Amino acid sequence: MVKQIFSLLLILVSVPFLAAENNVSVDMELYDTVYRTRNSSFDIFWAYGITGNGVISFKSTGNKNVRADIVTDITFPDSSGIPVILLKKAYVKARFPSFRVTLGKTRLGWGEGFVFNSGDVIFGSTSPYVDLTGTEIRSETAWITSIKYPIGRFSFLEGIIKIPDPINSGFGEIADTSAGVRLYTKAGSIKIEAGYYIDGEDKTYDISSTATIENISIVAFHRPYISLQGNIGPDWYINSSAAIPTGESIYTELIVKDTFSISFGLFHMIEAGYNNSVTFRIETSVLPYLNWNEKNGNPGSYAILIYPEVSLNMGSAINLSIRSIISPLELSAQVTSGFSWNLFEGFNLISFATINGGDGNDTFSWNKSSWDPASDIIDGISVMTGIKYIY
Amino acid sequence: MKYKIIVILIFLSLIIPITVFSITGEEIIRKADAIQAFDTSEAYGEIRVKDRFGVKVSTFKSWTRGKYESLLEFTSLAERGQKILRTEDELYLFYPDAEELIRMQGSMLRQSMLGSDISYEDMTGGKDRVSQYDIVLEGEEKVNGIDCYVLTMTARVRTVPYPKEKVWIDKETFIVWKAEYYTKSGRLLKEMETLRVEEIGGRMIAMESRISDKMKTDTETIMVINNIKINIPLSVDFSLDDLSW
Repeated sequence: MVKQIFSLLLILVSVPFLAAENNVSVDMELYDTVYRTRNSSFDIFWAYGITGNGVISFKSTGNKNVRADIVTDITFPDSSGIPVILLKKAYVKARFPSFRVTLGKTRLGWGEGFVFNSGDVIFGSTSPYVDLTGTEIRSETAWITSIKYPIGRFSFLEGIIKIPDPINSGFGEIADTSAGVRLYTKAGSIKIEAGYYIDGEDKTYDISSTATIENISIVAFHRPYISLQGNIGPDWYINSSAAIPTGESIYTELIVKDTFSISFGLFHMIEAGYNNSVTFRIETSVLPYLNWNEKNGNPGSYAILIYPEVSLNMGSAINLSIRSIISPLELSAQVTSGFSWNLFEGFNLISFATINGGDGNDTFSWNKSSWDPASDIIDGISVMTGIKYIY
Repeated sequence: MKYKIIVILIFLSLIIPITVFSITGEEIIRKADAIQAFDTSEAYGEIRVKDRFGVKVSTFKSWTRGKYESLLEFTSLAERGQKILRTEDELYLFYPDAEELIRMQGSMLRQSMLGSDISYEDMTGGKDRVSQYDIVLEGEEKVNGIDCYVLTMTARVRTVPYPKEKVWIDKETFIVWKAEYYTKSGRLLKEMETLRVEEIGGRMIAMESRISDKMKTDTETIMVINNIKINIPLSVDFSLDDLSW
């Protein structure tokens, strides 16, 4: 906590000096929020408060061949009521005549997909537990060293080294380092991305969803992936990956099956009267060797998840949307409806309502059968109305 | 005698358009396209989107090479670093916060660019309209006191943004002073007016133009070029590397 406050003070004190040499921007979101929750004795009640976050970015200017950005994310409040300050990005990238180097904490967008992306072997974009109120659903960043080497104008090779997140593991052993390489290219009208990532972070792998064994220690995983994207009227994309444990293990086949995943999606837009448009997106995540039948008490362990999204754009300023994560095998879902209105430059009025439906021990439920006060906040429903302003 | 007069009149009616318009519609469009196409260009400008709540301003810098290649980078606060790369047959977007490259295809091209009256599809319209349209020279009219050719263009291919266009082109400089964009059934969708031109490097260049969406009320988009250099060596190669930098 002291470290966090010190970091914030350091940033705030630096602002006037940084502003002279940088592009400084603040992206602020504040919401009046009403939600259903539980107190320490697990009695259900309705809570009301203001929630939100501010993202402060300091981007470098001037040098054509060097770019840098430092971004902090201040969220208020977390479940304990204390602001959370995160260093979201801190990187410098330099461009040389034939290659590019990036060093620091930044985002890596491997694979294709808005919510489900089996090609994202670095961050693993297959979890059903996501916040559907954001413009960007997956926004994890990591400390990396990256080298990007262009091969022609529309292809490149990228190699990365990723350290384990220091917040979780500190500066660990060199053997815990992760690394990867990907090729991004085109064949005719199809975009092809293929890569390999060795995930060296220490893991205790849980395969209890498909076997009686609970935890297996894994030194590292090989994670190959492939991602294709094209157009057949609607835009389509498909990704696939698997995690293969390094070394020999009697559980190798089980783990490969457990982690083999395919995600695919379609995106299409139609005009709905002049000046209005409706966009449709559907994504599906399939882990074919997980459960195809409902098992009580196994949320998040099912073979298929679906993300449908319908969005109506009225003119250029108003957007209405419905997004959902559906777990069809247990008939549970999270549904988020959204409204945004871009009134002034950088200023949006925004509203979201999220409702969960399902039995108490499903992936999503109205009344959760187990409640952890340390991590659970919303029980079944939340409504947020607020403002987003970039200045 | 009566028949002779009729034959002569029919003959004259066929000849007169040829003699009055000593230039064809295709030649006019070819010249209008030619003055818009540079070997290279580097420009700084802004897009002002006006609606009933006020004006939203997005600034940008752009580079072009030949007829089809362009790279546009937004420099205004709300969308700083977002880039659009257009090549002959592709359009890519780059979002710096997500470090994500998006290839625009199919219906995605019809989305509005930054809430303006310009769609991504508008950006992909090629500058070689002679091969894409049937062009008819309708006559001459004055636009803001300037003598212009009036032409209608009906699309021969489906890859152009609008099935029908009517354009008013300066007889001397071949600047497009006004354009109307229609649906196939003849419904007026958008209107473009050139508000200001400047001579840069011996070429007349439209520096400010207004695009109004005729299906909306109280909205218009004004595109302004504040500074442009043409036919200069460029540091960009219109590649994915340039897009994601």
